[in-house]
Amino acid sequence: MNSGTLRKISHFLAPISQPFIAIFLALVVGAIAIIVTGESPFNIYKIMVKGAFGSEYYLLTTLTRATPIIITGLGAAICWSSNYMGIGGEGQMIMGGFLCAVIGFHFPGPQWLKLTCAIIFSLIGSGLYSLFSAWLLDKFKMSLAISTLMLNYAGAYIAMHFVQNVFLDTTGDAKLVQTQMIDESIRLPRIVEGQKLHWGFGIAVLLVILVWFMMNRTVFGYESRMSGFNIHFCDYGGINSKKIMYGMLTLSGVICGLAGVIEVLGVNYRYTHNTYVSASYAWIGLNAALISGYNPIGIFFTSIILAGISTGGAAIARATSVPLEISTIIQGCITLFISARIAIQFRRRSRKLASPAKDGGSSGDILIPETKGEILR
Amino acid sequence: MNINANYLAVVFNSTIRMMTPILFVGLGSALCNRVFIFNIGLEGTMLTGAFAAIVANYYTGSIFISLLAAMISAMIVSWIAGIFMVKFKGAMLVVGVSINMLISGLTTFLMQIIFGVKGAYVSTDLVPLHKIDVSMLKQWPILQTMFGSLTYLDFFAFILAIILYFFLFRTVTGFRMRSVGINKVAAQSLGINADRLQIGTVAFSGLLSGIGGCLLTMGGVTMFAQNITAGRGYIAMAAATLGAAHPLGVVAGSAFFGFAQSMANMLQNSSISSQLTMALPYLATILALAIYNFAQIRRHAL
Repeated sequence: MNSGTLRKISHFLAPISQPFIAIFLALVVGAIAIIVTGESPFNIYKIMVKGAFGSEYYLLTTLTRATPIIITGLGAAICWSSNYMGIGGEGQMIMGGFLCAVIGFHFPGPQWLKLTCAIIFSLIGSGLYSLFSAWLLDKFKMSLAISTLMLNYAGAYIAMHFVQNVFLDTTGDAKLVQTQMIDESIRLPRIVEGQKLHWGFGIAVLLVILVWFMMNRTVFGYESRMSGFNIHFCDYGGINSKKIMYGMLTLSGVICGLAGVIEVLGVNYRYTHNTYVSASYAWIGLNAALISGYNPIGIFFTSIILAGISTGGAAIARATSVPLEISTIIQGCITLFISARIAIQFRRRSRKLASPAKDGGSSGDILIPETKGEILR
Repeated sequence: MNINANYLAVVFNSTIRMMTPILFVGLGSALCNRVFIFNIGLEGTMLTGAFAAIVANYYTGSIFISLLAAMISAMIVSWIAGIFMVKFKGAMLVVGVSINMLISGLTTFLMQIIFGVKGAYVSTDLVPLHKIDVSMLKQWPILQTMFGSLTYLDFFAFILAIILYFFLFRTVTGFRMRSVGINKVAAQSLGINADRLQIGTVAFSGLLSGIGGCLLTMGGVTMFAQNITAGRGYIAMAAATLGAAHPLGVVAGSAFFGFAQSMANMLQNSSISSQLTMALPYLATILALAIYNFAQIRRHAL
């Protein structure tokens, strides 16, 4: 085998090797946590894989769980790739889900009208909700990270207020703060009869393709990626970076809102306080976006892996004494180890400065540029 | 609900108790801002401190060891975050987000293993922080209400703010830290080990947030609940921004959030829905930052 072939292989493997190294290291950390509980890591990981992908039922459950993660991941990716690092996916998803559940039940008229209005208004609502933090950034130079974080908490409590005091479902379990269930006719149908997986997954796949197309094949996507690389260059080159900011953040809010809408229409059929927060869909989605370097197709597969870790963790918690949070630990570690990607590539490049083209995933250091100045503002 | 001097004294007291955990973390965040680090992981390190304090309390029953455990564990976690941010050049938000997620999972995980409970751990065996005796203020019941049931850590928070003010603006290390924050490359060219200074600052901010977490779980009701910090680390970051990363400014910033939080608690007894009052501190954060930034922009424009 000549060196050229080897180089080709390493060139091909370089961008994906980093995630695998990170996943491996995260599994090592997870194994240490498992040993603390007194169980055998191999045994536990076997249960985890089986509980995530082991049978048709488990696989479809994982895909169901992956659906909101894929969608919020796409929402995070489009604003992060244009260098607007909003972390408000959770609040936007709550807004979408809450509005959809309320309008879908209370809007007057036939069911099809309820459904249409529920989808349209909840997407508008979550878009406006995201637009608000864009407006704060534009007019008040407020750190997007802080404003979106605060809005996550505020949004959750405000939605809870309306559910508790106005739209509370008093028929069922009195302890849960939840709205009434939407009508059966407007729920998303199941893909496989008798299983959890619903057509929301199909919507997520479609969205992956659409976002990929938008980011790679449209002028708006190109301009937004360019503004992510260098905003001053863009302004100089005649791209309206303000338009990009408003557009991207609103679109990301709409997409994250759609995740909530699909959860309501496909899984819960109602809005229950704290469900999205405790499952941390939006955070896992953000992690998926970060791990895959904002690549929509990468997000699709990463989300399924991360969702598999979650459902596998649930299987472990059912079968053994290892707590469910083992999956959160592993997921957090993967992202933490991924963040070190830039350094490794940086070092590799400095070593072979003569042949910069061989640097497989050189996008890494551009993907997450230094924007401390703007954030610190 | 009638407003009189006694009522105001109660509000004052509750504001202090609400603000001091935020103040500790906010001071840490301010130091990080001074060396050009946006440390969102303070939420996670605060949670680490809160948890470690209760664990040490459970095993030893000693307040001193609990505080020490909180400080050291939070410092270690923060140090790791600092290494990833500075040495490995990880994006700060990414490192912070993953640290927060990791710690949120890890504390809940360990809570189930150590205490065998889900959700929250409360026990009468746990020792709370000592309350300062205010019986010498008997003649002035208002003062007694104002300063009642405070711990030594509450007072220490204010003293620390003053110490850090002198440290930042009157010592060589403080001067170096600020120079790194203004221009890291220039500071390095003068022979300052900027990387070490940044990592050290992040670790120290973790130590401070550990004290904040300890105060949170052992100051009032002594207990640990899943994700008990509930965004206080983020609020503290907002307080540091609001205080222009100046230690004394952070005191004012966190006093504002303490007040918003204590109003939220006070209003729970009124006719306003308790869910809306719980949203109050977060909305107040946005409003305060908007007003502050607006004033800043105006001043620069003049």
